[in-house]
Formats: sequence, C-alpha cells, structure tokens
Amino acid sequence: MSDLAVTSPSSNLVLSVRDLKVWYGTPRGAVRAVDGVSFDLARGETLGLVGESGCGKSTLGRGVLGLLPTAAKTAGSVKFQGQELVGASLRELRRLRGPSLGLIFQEPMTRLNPLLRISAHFEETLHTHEPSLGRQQRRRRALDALGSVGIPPTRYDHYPHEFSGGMRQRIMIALVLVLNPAMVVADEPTTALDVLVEAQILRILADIKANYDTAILLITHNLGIVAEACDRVAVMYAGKIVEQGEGAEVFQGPRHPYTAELLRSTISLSTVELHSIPGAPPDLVDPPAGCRFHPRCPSAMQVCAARVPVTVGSSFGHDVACWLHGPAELIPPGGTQPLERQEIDRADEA
Amino acid sequence: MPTETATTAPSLKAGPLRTLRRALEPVREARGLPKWTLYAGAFIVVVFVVMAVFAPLLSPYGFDQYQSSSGARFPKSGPPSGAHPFGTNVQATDVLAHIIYGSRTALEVIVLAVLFSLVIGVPLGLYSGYFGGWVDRVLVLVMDAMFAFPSLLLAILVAVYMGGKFTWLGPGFGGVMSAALSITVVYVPQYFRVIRNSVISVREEPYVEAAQVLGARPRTVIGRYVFGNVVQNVPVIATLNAADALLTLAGLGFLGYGVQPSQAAEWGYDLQRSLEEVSSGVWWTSVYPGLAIVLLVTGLTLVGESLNDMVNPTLRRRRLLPVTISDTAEGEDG
Amino acid sequence: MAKQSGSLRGYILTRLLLVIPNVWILLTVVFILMRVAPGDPVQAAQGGRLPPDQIKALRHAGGFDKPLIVQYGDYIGGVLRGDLGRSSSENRTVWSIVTHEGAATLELTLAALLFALVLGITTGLVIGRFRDSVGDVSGRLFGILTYAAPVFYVGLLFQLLFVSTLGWLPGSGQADTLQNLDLVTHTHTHIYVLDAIINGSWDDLRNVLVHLILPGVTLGLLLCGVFIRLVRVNIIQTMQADYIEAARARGISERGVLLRHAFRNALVPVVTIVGLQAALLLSGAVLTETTFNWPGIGQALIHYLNERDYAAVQGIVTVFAIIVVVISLFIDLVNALIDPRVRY
Repeated sequence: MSDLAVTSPSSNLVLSVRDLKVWYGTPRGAVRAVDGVSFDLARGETLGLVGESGCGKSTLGRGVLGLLPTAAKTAGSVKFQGQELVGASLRELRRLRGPSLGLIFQEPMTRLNPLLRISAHFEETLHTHEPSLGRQQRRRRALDALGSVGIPPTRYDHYPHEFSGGMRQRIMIALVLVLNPAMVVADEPTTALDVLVEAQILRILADIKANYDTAILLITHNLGIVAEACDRVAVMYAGKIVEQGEGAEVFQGPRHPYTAELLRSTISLSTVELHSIPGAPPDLVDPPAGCRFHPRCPSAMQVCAARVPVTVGSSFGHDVACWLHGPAELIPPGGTQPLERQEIDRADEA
Repeated sequence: MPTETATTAPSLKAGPLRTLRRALEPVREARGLPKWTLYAGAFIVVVFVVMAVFAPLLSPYGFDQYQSSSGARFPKSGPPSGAHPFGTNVQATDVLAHIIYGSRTALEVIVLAVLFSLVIGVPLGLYSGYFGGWVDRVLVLVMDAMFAFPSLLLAILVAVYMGGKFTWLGPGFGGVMSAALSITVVYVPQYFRVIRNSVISVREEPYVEAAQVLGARPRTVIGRYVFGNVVQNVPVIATLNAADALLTLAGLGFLGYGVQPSQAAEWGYDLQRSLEEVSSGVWWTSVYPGLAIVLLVTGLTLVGESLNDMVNPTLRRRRLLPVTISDTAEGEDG
Repeated sequence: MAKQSGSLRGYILTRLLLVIPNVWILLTVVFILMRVAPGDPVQAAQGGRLPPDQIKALRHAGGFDKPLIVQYGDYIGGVLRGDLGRSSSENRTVWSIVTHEGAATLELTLAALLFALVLGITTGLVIGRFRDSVGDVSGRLFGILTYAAPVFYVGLLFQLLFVSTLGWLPGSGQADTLQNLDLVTHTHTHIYVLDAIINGSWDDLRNVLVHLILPGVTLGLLLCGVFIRLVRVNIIQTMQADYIEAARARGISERGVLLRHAFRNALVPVVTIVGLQAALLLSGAVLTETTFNWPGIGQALIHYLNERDYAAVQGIVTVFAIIVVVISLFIDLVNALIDPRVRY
C-alpha cells in the first residue's frame, strides 16, 4: 500500500504522522473524529489544515500534543523529531509541551488566568521549563517575546482583562514563542478576532516562521488564510485527509471534488453568486461507506459508495484520495458509472 | 455565578401537561449517579409521606397519650421495651408515636410553607424580572435585606408576632399555620431572587424578543414563553427549600417558638425536651427524633440535588465511554 | 463585568454608600417586627405584674407613649448615635449585652469558622478534583449529612458520646466555675481565650479551650457542609476552564495547574460564600449556645424573648442586622482586592 509521499528531506522533518486515529466513546458509539490521517511537517514549513467545522481538525491538532480527554483513544503513530508521541507517558508529553510543541488557541479571551498578571504567566512557564534561569533572565526573555508580538514592556504587569482580544491572542503567542518551540499548532487562531487583528496575527505567524524556522500546523476553515500563510495545504473531510499538496498547486488545480467545492464556496471580491455544498458533514459515529464525501459529491460514481478511495500521489507531491484519479485497476467493472440520483438522496438522509 | 437555566424555545402547544413534561424531561434523560440518588431520596420521602398520611393506623399510641387503654401509666423516660420500641420521653409519651405523628406535622408545615412561598415569591419574581422599573428596585432592596438577615431569627420574630393569631383554625391546625407562615417569610426572598434572575436571562432570549416584536401581550409572553422556561427551576428550589424549611421548623421548635406541644408532635420540640436528660444517659429521646429530621432532610436534599444535576447542565460532564479502535471495513484503506 | 481597572476607589465608594440603604431597610424591618407588630414592650414585659400608674411611668420613661413615627425616628437616631437602648427586664444597656455576651459568641463563631474553613475547603478541593471517585461520593454524602443534621442534634449526639458516655469533654458553659471566676474578675476583652493569654494563665486557657471544642466543632460542622458542597462545585467548574487547558498545553505540571490556577480561582467565590454564611452562622450560634448552655448573645436573645423584654430583643436584633451588613461590605471589599475583574 502506498505511503504518503514524503515531500521534504527527512533530515528536516519535525513531525511525521502516520495513520493516526482518535476515537471518542459516546453512548451512541465511537465517534471517529480522526480516522487514519497521515502527513509530514518540516522545519520552517507551514501546513494549512482546512475543512468544515466538525471534520476533526481540532481533534487532530490536540491529538498531536496528547491534549485529549482521558477517555479518547488514540492509535497510529505521531513521531516528533523521531520520538513517538502516541502512547508516550504524560510526564514525557508535559516535558515536550511548551519547549518543543506549542499550541495557540481559538478563543484568546478565556485562555489566560484572570487572577494572574501577564508576568506571572511568563514566570510560571519559564520557571517550569528552564529552571536554571534567574529572575532577570526570565523577565528579559518574556519582554523579548512580548516585544516581538508588539506588546510594550509597560503592560507586563497588567491583568488579562485589561487587554483586548487581539492583544490577548498576541500574548498567548508570546507565551508560546518565549520557549522557542520547534513546532506550533495554531488552532483557528484568528476565528474569534476581527479582520484587522487577523492580519496582524498572520503576519506574526509569518515572522515566527522566518525568524525561528518554526514548523507551523495552521488549522483553519478559512481558505483565504491558507492561501496567504501556508506553504502546503491538507484538506480534511469527515476525519480523513482527502487532498494535500503545495498551496498554489492545490488552489489552482484542486483534484478532489470536495476541495473544488470548498474553493467555489469561498467569497471574494469577484464573487457574483454564492455557492454552497449541499448537505452537511456526516455523522462520525456511522460515516457513509466508501468515500465519505460521496453523498454530497457532484461527481460521485458507483465505486465511490462501495470502496474506500486509495491515496494517489503525483510528481509534485500533490496527493488525493478520490476514485476519479484512480487507480483504475482497483475500480470494479462498471464502477465508473455515475451514482444514481435517488441513491445520493437516500445516503444524504442517512 | 448566574443561575444557569436551560432556555430552549418552547413549542406553541404549551399547556399544563406539556409544561410538566418539559419540567420532567431531564429526569428521563438522566443516567448514573443522579438517577440513583434521585430514587434513594424519593424513597425516603415516600416513606415519611406514608407515615404522615396513615399516622393513626401506623402509630401504636396517640402522640399525647400517656397511659395505655387499660389506664396503666407509661413510664417517664422509660428505655426502649416491647411496649415502647423507641422508649418513652420525659412527658411519659411514646417516642415512636412522636416520630410518626411528627412526620405529619413536618409535612403539613413544609407543604404549606413551600406553597405560600411559591404563591408569593414566583409572581413577584416574574413581575420584577420582566417589567423592572422602580417596583423591581424596591423589591430587590427589601428582599436582599431579608435574605441577608439570619433566617432563624426572622422566623422567630414572625412566630412571636403570629403567636395565637390562628387559634380560630382549631387547636390542631392553628399552630401549623403560624409555623408555616413564619417559615414562609424566610423563603419568599429566595424564590423571588431565583425567579427574577432566570426571568432576566430568559427575557433576553431571541424567541422572547421575537414574540414581543410580533405584538404578543406581556401576559402571553410571561405565561407562555418565560414561565415555561423558568418553571424548570421550580422543582429544584422547592425540594431544596422544603429540606431547609424542615430544619427551620425544627430550630423554631427547639427554641420553643414552633408548633405548641399540646397541639401536635414536633421533632424539634422533642429534642429540646431531651436536652435536660442527655447528661443522665437517656439517649432514645434525642437520637430517634433527630434521626427522623436527618433522614427526611437528606431525602429531600438528594431529590433536589439530583434534579439540579439534571436540570442544570453546567455541571453535567460529557461522559466519554471506553472505546476500542477496530479496523472493520477500513482494511482496504491505504 | 470587566471594565476599566483603576476604578477601585470608585467601586469602594459606591459600595460604602450602599451600606446606608441596606442598614436603613434592615432597621426598618426590625422596627416593624419588634414595635409595630407586638405592641408595647413595657406592657408585654410587665403587664399584670405592676400597678397601672407604674407601668405608665415606665412607658413614659422608655418613650413608648409617643406616636410610632416619633418612636421610629428616636430608634433610628439612637442607633446612629450608638445608643441601642436598655433592657426593660434588667438594669443593663444593650451595649453591655453586646460587649459581654457578644464576646462569648465571637469566640464560638470564630472557632467554628476556623474549623469549617480548614475541613470544608480541603475536603471540597480534594473531592472536587477527584470527581466521581469513592472519596467524592462519600465526601458529598458527608456534605449532605452535615447539612441535614440540625446543629442542636449534632450537639446532643456529641454530648451523649463525649460527655455522658466517654466523659472526655465538658458539654456545658464557657469555663468551669473556678476559671470562670478568675476570667470574669481579670477581664480585658471579655473574650476568654484572649483574656487567658493576656493574663498568662495556662490553666485558664486549657480550661477554656476544652470547653470550646464541642460547641465549636458542632457549629463548624454546620458551615462545613456548605463549604464542601460549594468548593466542590467551584473546583469542578474551574477545572473545565479554558485557561486550565492552556496551562496544560504549556506543559505546566499538574501540581502547578492545581495550585496556581484551579484551587486559587475556585476559592475566590468561596470568599463571597463565607460572607453569605454570616447569617447562617448567627442562626446556628443561637441554637448551639442553647444546646451547650454557652453564655453568648444568642442565648441572651432567647432569654429576653422568653422574658418578653422586647427592648433588649430589639437592641440585639439591631446589632445582628448591622453585623450582617458590615460583613457583606467587608466581603465585597476583600473580593475587589483579590479579583481584579470585580472593580467595575
């Protein structure tokens, strides 16, 4: 079976995820939030992870850091700088969180402890991971990190509620930066913020990458952000990555119908007619058989409802999991016939 | 912390039955510990209700009976024996009879007190929360002042004031009525506060605003939309307050300001009388009545807390079950 | 809630001004309950015992023959001047009741509060942290039981066990006769524990502390149940807060997460809760003092109620009302200092 093509020289690899699964047990059955995902991330690279809400993006981001509810089950492999994180001890994960792996959250308003000054957050973080630092050194490091995101030193001793949402997000980023991690997961970092602040935050992320050679996993539902800020893009649908490749490649020539539909749904200045994908993402307890997108897919074929698509690569490292792109030898005879309309309806209802 | 209320848009087919079903909906959905504690609490309460209702049938003697039917005097502070399984007290009456008849007094007072508090507190809270204005501000100030005041003292002062005002209701019921009213004064502010706060939060809901924009009269909006959502909290407060009311009644009785001992059996008063005998090792006159209070309060609290766990979703934890990752139907995946 | 900081002074000023209507409303409620409702205190206390002309003289001396509205004015004016009135059954001022019996009550309530805070907060934190464990379930049950058992019943059970059966501890009064005499004659504060320490009399101190154990624990258990339940709920809610997850994402140790983020933040509302318990504490003190024959202000209140000495009762209740308002003011101010967000 084909492993995903490794697009970067392996010496530069920061993160390598193979067939990762994260399932939640619920009274209705297992929710397959992440169901067999593979991707790589190299130094200084930004990978955009896009998809609709509820497709497992955030679970994937949290799963990399092991920040999941204790009852969540994880399988597969997450190798961070050669070290296996799936099944690693909490102690080991805690040692990595911060100095090696940073996480930027979606809602900055509630992520800082309201009773602690900004300075206390930095003191605590630095003291935990670099106990050898003296008080003055800690303060310098913290002010440097804050300065790099544009927070003046005069605000160091203020309380969280004295800052706006955009400033709090910058403080959260500085809290990640101060330890200079090799990789940062940014989980919808601008969703809760307004457009001007969004641009600031994206510029800060770009600066981090340029200055520190940090690998960034940018989770978002906003394709505009991906086009602007990411080197590569992975499109996620119903717990699986359906397409990934260079950003420009994917946007100019989407190979998966879901990516194409997503791009058509994006609103820009040239938009003359709003487009939306009919239906909603499937129930992850009982996902559709075969390709999970087939009930909503405009180009669905007979084979799509029957068999799980195989990931096929291209010479440019542009991978897609869709029967439209073969491999032809695995499609049963007559499988390329269009899927009957009523079958689509029925599957949609289910 | 604001009181969390479930605020889902009620269907237009609102009716008393529907309201009741909506109020009970969380009970049916509940699982695990809350449901179990609800059943345990309900069982205890039912036992006491049965004792209260069938007291004359269940009790071996009357609560004020100090001699047997043959005319033989009961012993004074007699230890538990065959004729008196829980012993007799300092007034030579049967302790078990006092427990059984005491549950009757307790339930009468609690039901009346909760009923009065609801009838006064809920409309005031609805009005104050929905209309606001100076009436609201004055009510809030007065209610807050009463709420801050030591509840037992408030009840005692009202009990002193009420003393002997209800003799026209008959010897059995006058004392119960005045005790119930003394307790009511304590709980009206609580209902007022909770109802007012939840009305204020519901009032801001889009569907209430929509009804107002569509020209619904305040009566309709309060009755159909606001009350329907606020009513979910009422069983919780009512049971929790019933438990507290019983403690207040017992406290009043212990201090001598509850139901007069000649009129009814009351556990708090029994405990006061047992105080003088404790040092001489007479335990049965205090242990049993006190146990009755503890059990009934625990039962009511368990019911109230479990209902609260069910209605108030902020504390409900998303329960995750163990899961095993299988590769069924995914084996062909590359 | 979160507005500009720096307005702490404004907040304190507003809060201080709010004391005036609070006290005024409570005093009015007290006046209505004590004077308008039961009527004339002299008649109530001395009716039938004294000839009518003497009663008339007493009524005039107490000002009870004036119109109610004038009496109301006199009452409010008196409180403002610090004059709480005189007992009509004994020759003493309410102020002397407050300083003598009040000191005994203060001793009892502080001991109870200390016990309840230590036991209640630790238990609440631990069982809330390990939610749904065996410890949690039994801790919750303990919380419900301490709430469900009336203070006087717990007191009675303690007396049965520790006094009558085991004979380990005294179950009545504030000190034994000898030590009591010593402390009454050499008094500084009327608070026995303090007086014994000031006098350097370790025998007195031991005796006083031994007498304090049962009433203190009894009243403490009442509060303890409330603390356990509320601290547990708060810690559970705090553990779900976003900043807890954020701290974990920074690799903060579980110990650090609990101590610096969870416990501290969960305890802020507890300050408010402690303040709200002032009323419960006073109600409980009345019952505990009656149970343990503790010579405090609660027992005095019941004594004067039974004597129908409504002048003394009114004075004592007035003091209770002022205490409640002052404690709630104090708690709000402390809260504003601890929680930077409160200063709105």
